[in-house]
Amino acid sequence: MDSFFALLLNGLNSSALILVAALGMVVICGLMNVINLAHGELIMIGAYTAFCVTQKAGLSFALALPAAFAAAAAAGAVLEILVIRRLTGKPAETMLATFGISVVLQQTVNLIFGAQSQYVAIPLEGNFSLGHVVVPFYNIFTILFVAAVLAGTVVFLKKTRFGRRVRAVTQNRSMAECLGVNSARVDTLTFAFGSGLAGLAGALAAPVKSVSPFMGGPYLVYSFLTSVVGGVASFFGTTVGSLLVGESSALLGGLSNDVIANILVFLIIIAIIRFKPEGLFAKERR
Amino acid sequence: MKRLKLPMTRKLDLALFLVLGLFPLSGLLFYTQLIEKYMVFLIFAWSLDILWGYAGLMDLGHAVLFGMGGYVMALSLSAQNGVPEFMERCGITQMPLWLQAITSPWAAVLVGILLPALLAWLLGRFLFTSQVGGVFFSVITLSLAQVFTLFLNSRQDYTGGFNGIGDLPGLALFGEPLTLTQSYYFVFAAVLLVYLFCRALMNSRFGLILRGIRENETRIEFLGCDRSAFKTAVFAVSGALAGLAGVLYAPVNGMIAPNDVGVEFSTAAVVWLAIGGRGSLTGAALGAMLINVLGNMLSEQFGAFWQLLLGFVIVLVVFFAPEGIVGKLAKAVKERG
Amino acid sequence: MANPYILWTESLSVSFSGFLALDRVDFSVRRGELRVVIGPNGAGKTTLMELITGRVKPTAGKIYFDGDNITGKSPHVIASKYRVGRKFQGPNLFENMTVSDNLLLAAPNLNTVRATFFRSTPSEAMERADDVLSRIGLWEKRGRLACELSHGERQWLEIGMLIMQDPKLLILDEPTTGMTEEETYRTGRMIQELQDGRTVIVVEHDMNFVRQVAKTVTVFHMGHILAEGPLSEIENNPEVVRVYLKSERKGEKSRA
Repeated sequence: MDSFFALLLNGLNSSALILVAALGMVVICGLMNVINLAHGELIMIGAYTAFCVTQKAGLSFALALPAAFAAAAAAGAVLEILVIRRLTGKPAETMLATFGISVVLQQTVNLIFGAQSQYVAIPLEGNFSLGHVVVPFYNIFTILFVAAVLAGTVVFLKKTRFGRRVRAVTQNRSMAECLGVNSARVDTLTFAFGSGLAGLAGALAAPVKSVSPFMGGPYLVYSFLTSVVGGVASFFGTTVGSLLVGESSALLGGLSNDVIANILVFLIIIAIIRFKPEGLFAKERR
Repeated sequence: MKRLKLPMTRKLDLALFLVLGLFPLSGLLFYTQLIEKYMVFLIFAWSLDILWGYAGLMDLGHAVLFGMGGYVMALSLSAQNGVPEFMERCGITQMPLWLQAITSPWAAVLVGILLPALLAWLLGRFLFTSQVGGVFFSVITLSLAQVFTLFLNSRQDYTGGFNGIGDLPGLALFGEPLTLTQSYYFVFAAVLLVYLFCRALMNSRFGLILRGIRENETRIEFLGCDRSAFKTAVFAVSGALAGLAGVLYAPVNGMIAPNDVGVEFSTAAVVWLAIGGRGSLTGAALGAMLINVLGNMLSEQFGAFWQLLLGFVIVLVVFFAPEGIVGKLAKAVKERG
Repeated sequence: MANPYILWTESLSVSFSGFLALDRVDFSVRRGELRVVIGPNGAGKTTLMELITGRVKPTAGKIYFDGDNITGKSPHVIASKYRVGRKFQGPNLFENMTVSDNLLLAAPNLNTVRATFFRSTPSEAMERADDVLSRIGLWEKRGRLACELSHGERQWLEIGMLIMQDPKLLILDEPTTGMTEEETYRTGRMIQELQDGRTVIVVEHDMNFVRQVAKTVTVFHMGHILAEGPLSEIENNPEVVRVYLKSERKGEKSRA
């Protein structure tokens, strides 16, 4: 029984990582309706920022998190201004352009740091055991931190003035502009915000997952699938989606091979999306 | 309604085949071998073009279909004298049934072509019959490539793992191994046949419908077209052609490894088509040849910068030449004449 | 004795997340009729067309075409097997394909994998396309891309595609949107030509155009049929005037 609870906790940790990675995508894809194939690379930028801050500059991990957010947000802002903005309403072109950007980002990091996996020290060492399953303290930290980020994001978008502007622009751009909202600025900042969230995901994952220039691919896939399964514009749905993915991976992984578990969960997610493309908790837009 | 003059794209195709056909006469042995490999890539490029260029389905994991054909052929070739060495090293002493089935080269070719076609067909039936958008297809194919690479790397016993399967013999006809020149022209013939096949198919009404699906999916439904049937069909054909390319790749390259057939190679094909131009077959060929040849020439000096440059060029192409190099050339010619 | 009605619905309803767009509608059209459907925005006119063409599935009720129950069938089946053609609000062409290609795509019963795999479009379809090109006045521009045409030319190309399709039932969704008075008049004439034994349903807002072509008019309001009958009756129906025509007249004044 203890082991089961421990598995649940570890699953929660996986869910948390998936959630924070997917959050950025919900903001960008769900709110702004932009398909960003470089999402995984924004996560990668966050991971490398954490690497640089902790390993290269020797600073505390607590600084790595906001630094990762800032770095990825900056990259996102530049991306939005130079590329995304000019391709509004052209999904195929946006996909191809962001695909090109992802190659550029991968290769740039590859040139600077090399292709080998980088090591980022776990900021919170130690663990406790429940039954015969080990639960690292860092996992608990991740869960709590992501919960805070989720709450913060929802509050930010629903309660603050900027959040209202974002919702105004995404729901009715011309009307928002008539009311004096600088929609271009809002777009850039929203995209930057979503990118920053991706950066956070990268920083959180860095101590426990491999950090390399090409790490972004699977994160893109998971973010996309999770946000779609939940209903692309729904934070609640995405949370449920990541719980679904994270917990099933952990529980199945506890029973059988990790790779097989991942593939199974993956197939289930695809099946759900295929039969319910609008997601499990879609907000109906007419 | 059809023009009698050869459009520019056909002229380029003709030029390409002329150059390829005469290349061995140059006597540059090393480059002949290289170009032979790049010719196999042409088949792969065209298989993606009919899917992405014509039908608008951006497959980010196309190398999986290529890899299936390649590994089937590689396994078959390495099993000619009993259980392959890499399997023996993992403790397998008896040839598995499935390997016995593909030991015969003809069986291997057939399976190498039909297995990816079948996978594509099944995937198509499953994905295209729902309302999910194009980006979903792209992400699913990307994840397929990721999973495929994971699988290949993990099953040391069946796939040779990270190192793949090497020491493969070259092409042979009726038991007689071919010389380099003979092998080259064999591949050349295959490429020519694939070209004619693709041209004929895309020039037929099937190609017209595919382009219609790409341009306006909802409207074409109202014109009585079952989009999912067409998408599935072109995906299956694309899979078969990619498999064929893989089948040729194994003996021509002498070895096959997970790096050749995973996300990287899928990405490469997308790059060739993005830059060369899609939806004309010519652009795909131009992109594939140009980028591979240039990449080979520049890799000694520039190495990793080359990939970076390609990424930038793609972004530039999206803004300044969305139809690719070939598209830009075609427009320039049209405006002049 | 053949059923005089080619299309009829039984208690057809559809709702979108709580909003009842159509409420138990019994709509019917006689074979060979030219029916005009009017009504305020959001009354359910376009929704009804979406249901008939199979794009949207009803939440209740049935649709019958030529005796067959077509409720819930896919759009491509309804288009090809039952030969229902539709022209959308606003041009909906294949922008980066030539005018000829646009027309060829509309050739009837040639859009299955079996009919097209390695096969070219049959010569009779090609000849019909040439014929239609002349009729819609786009013969010279047949090699141009659809996106290069003027607005009016694009509307005619759409109508040309409908002629190619040779449907039994033709649904025209606000065909004169954005047209000049002269273009509107010509569209009216073309529709009357098109009728030629076919059944045509026109959804419209422009009352001048409606007067030019209409015989029988159906008025929709809030998801159900408010009134139906000859144009003269409808124009004098006090409820219709209150709900729709008054606002239409206001609109006409400002448009002038």
